Amino acid sequence: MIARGTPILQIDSLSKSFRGLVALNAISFEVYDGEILGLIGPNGAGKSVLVNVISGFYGANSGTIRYRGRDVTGFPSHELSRLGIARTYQNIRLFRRMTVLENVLVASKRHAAKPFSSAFTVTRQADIAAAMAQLERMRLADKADRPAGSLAYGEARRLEIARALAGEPSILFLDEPAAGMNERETEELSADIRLCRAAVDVIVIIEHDMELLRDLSDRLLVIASGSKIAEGPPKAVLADPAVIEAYLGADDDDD
Amino acid sequence: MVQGDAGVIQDYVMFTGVNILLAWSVYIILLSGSLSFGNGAFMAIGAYLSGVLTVKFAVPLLIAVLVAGILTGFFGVLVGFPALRTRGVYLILVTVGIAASVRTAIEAIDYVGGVRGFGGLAGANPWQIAVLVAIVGGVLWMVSRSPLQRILDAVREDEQVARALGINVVQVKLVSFGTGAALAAIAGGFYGHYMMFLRPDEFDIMLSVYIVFYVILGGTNNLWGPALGAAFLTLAPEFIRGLDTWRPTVYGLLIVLLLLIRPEGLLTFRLVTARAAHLRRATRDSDMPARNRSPEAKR
Amino acid sequence: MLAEQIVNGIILGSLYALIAQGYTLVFGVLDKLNFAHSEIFMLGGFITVASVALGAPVWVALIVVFGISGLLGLIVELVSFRKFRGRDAQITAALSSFAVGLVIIDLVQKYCGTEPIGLTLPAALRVFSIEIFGMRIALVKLTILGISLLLTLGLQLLVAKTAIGRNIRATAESPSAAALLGINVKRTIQQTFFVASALAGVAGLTLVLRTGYASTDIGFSFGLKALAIMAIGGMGDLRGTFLGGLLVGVAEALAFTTGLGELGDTVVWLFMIVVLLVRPAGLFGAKWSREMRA
Repeated sequence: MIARGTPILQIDSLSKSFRGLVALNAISFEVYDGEILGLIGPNGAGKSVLVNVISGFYGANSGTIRYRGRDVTGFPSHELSRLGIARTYQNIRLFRRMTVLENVLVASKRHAAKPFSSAFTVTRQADIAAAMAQLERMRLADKADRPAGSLAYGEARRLEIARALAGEPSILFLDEPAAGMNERETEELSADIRLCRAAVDVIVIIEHDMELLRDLSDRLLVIASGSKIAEGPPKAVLADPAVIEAYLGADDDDD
Repeated sequence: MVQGDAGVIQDYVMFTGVNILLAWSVYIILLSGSLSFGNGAFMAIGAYLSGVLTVKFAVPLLIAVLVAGILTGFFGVLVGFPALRTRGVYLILVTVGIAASVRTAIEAIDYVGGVRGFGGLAGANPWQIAVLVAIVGGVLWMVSRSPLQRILDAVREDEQVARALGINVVQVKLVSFGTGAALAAIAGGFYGHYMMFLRPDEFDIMLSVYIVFYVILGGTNNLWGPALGAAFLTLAPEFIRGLDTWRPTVYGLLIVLLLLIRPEGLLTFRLVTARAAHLRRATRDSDMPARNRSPEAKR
Repeated sequence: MLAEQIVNGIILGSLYALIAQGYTLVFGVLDKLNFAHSEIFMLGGFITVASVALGAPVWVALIVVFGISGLLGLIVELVSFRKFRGRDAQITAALSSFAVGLVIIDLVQKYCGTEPIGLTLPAALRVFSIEIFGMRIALVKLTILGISLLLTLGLQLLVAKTAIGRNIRATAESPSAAALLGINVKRTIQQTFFVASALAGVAGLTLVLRTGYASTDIGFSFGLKALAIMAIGGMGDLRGTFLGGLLVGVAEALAFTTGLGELGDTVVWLFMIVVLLVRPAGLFGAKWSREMRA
């Protein structure tokens, strides 16, 4: 395995259980500057739990998270966000009653960090221009004034990504961005993600469908039943018998 | 008769103004996502605290009211802590509990007259209230056009996502609670010094409930709703014969009807188009090079 | 005498518990609070007075109160609860039912005046008392205790053993799952409201028997206290609520003996706030509340 650049994120023996049910079992891995890392695994493997722990929604039971060398285990979500960790959600969580533009504007770190100091100001042109730029990259500029709740599914996904990027994060976690998409939409999504690559240091894509990640990711990490079972370049990982077993085994049980 | 008329108008201005401020105090807390049934209690504390300062310590009225407001604001922050961990009806129960407790607590304190009441307050006039309404209204209006408004909207609509965007939700909610409490207290301070006499049974749970009614019936979309609701519901009983005696039934039925007609988005409100209008104007006017616009953009 | 106070406390507590269980029933099934509940309780008292004044014996009054209160509950369900689902439904339903409660109070006051109305008890209940364990207990008090306990028992049996009860429990657990199982959820909710409100009305009857008069204020004070009891004992948990009611009743009675009576309400409220913060499921566990199942 060739390391690209420095490790931005170091996960060490991370564990999380819910009322006795083990969701994450001493997972360890690193994420390197400049890469697109794919995180795959069958349904229920613990991928979303992992994202939720790393982004501060849940506290880990044990293990550490280091971000740029700094121990951030147990930090609350808003602090992690301010440090540069951003994410999207499996079941798109936009602010539906705000406009598309406002969804992006509200992600501005400057205001989020000091909400009350902007109380008597009016939104600046520069901020609007920056937000519009984010929207343009995601081909949503013409819908800027529409309520976010009125967007079609694919557009809503793109808005979530635009919103996450508006905070100028260092790491972007995309939680099952291809969920519910057909082949054409998935290809569009793949192109959009490549577009965003320059805007962040790292992209981590959590997916349960391997097609998106096969060509897009530099490395793959496979999780099953809360444990890491494989790690490496996509072709090697996807050919790994343990990985195939995990998917086949899982597919036998459900769906 | 002229004297009487002037007195009556003064009363109208005073009570309407106080109720507008109280409605806004609930609105401010509502902005961060909590419906507080405790603002009558904050009003009571403000009235009594400022009264103690002016009557027992000869503090000038404006300073007394300000200090009472700040102190009650801190108390409001304390009350806000349960609001962080409770939602919906649990929060209602907590704020109702506090409102109910405050009244019995005041009745038990002899220093401020207990059940018999507390007198000697003086010096407030309706014009102070009018100025205050203008100031608070101005502040709310400015906030509504600022980035802070968006942050409040985000916190209200989806707390978790707001956090993930870097917003310290706890801080926002606590400041919101404290500010609302302080405003209610200041309104209470002026009210007390106008009425000149305070009795605990004026500050029962129904007071908090009516304030919430003003806000709901007036509309929660923006700062005007609560103000109009408060103004209308304060003055209407004066002019519509019979309304005063039938107030509970009429208001009650209005609430039931209104909620049936508009049950969704009662609290998660905000007319998107109206509020974002100023932003729309801004995007239209901003000069972005034509080539940056996406091909499908329509002018 | 301490024992007597404790008995009084139990009688009072069983009354609180009866009211609180009505709240609990609805909360368990819908995750919402019915703020009209306490006014139905209050109205029950007035219906009792009216019935007795018209010459009906107590058991007839009981049936009348039961029926009218139940029907009123159905109306409240239709107006304040049926339409509200979704995010803020809890608050909307609470507000709406509260408004209905206000209307009830106002109408009763307009019709009967704001002063309490006295009840002339049938001679038998007024005069007789019996001796148990060295204490003289008025027959009236025993009747009250009897009715409360009987109803509580009946409620527990209804919920635990009957088909209706099974439907209620299933709906409380998960309305969508219940619907999939073929349960008529709408009908079950209506039945829940009927039972809860009928109990509230009968609780009003028992109170009037005990105090000798009906007043429009009691809905509020008893209602608030019953809410506190439900929160303390366990929101959505019938048994917890019952125990909570007894606890508060006895505590209140003891507090009166030590002279701390008036602060009792405040203490109960503060205790409730603490419990809600520390252990939202209530002291005695949560069997039904969906909030707890995150």
